[in-house]
Amino acid sequence: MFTRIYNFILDYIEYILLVVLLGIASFFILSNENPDVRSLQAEISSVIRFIHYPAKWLNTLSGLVDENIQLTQENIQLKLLNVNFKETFLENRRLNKMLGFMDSVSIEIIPVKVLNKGVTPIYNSLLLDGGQNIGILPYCAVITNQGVIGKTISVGPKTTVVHLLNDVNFRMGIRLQNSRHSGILEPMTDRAGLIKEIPKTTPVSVGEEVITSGYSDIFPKGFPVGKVVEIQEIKNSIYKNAVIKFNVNINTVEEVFVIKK
Amino acid sequence: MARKILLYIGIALVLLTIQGLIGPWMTIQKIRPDFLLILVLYIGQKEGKIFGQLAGFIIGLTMDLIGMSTFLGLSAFVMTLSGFLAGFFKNQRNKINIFSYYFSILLICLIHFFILYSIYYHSLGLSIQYRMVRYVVPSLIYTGIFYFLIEFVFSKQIE
Repeated sequence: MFTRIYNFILDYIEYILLVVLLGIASFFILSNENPDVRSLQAEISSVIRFIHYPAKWLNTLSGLVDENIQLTQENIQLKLLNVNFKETFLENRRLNKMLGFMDSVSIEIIPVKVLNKGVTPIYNSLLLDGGQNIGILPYCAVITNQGVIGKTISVGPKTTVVHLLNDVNFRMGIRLQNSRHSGILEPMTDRAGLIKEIPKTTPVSVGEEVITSGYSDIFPKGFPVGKVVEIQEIKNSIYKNAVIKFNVNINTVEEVFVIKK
Repeated sequence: MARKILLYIGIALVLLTIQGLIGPWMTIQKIRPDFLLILVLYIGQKEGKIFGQLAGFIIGLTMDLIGMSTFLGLSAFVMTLSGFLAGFFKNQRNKINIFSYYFSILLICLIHFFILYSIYYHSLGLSIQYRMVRYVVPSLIYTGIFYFLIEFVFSKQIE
């Protein structure tokens, strides 16, 4: 009996191995939301992050001169803007006090450098050069000074994987700033997303700001996401769609902020 | 054998670094050649089904784990299958018609990309035609070009 089983295994070892390996891979596919599996990914990313250093070094070299010119210009503009912002901030505080508002949310942010932007062809993710060592946790919002770019999904000792806003499997609760309509943002392309099922009676205009709705535990309320660039009327439907252009060009991001929970 | 395994590990690490280094520069409309798939196909053809699928699984899982995958296990799944299928062509290069041989290799790539994009983009509900024209065929052509270039340059070693 055992000899027969042994011979059977020997005869079909290739196929048995195939089933086992595909089974393990399927297990990983089905455990994508499992924190333990994500933690394993982050641990391994941290150990072999040296693989990403050549790419980082090359990108740094090629972009250094352009970046310097751009930063100098931005610096001057920001200095001028800063004066205006200070005035606006002080005025805002005075008005808030007058209206009896209290600061309801206080957030703490962690600045992190981007280590790499993915070695596989289709995934839209970032690897950050910092993890548990600087206090990052899984499922935290990741932003730049221009707006939201994604959320942390796996955090290792020294690296963090960020699921980006433009990944096909990313969804986020948003709100149209003027019309106050809330919905779910689905990515379309690298720089654009779609808000579906907006009632036709809701007045949405091109150029309207889109912000986070604050309904999720991950993204705080009111962070800029993008602007409405097109409204798609749907025939024979009570709904319309809005196309959003993201504020942040994710392909050029080099530093980000992680919002501490 | 141990030397050979070490050599494959070395090549895989180099290709992984190259993919990370020049991959973004070679991306056209989100399509990028997959050098590691070429390596898995090569290992499968050279070493057979068992070695091919094991190499595919390990390389795929490594890509998933360090490649910042948002869909863990997917690369491991498709790479295992590709390595296994490539193993059917061990020592067949000079035995079967050369066109049938290369057609079969391209067919494996087609199956690889079809499964990859079908699972990854399932949430978008894209039609098969759109998936084929927008993602699968361009990826196949782009990776195929590099496959034949490498095959041409290293044809002696492959034989």
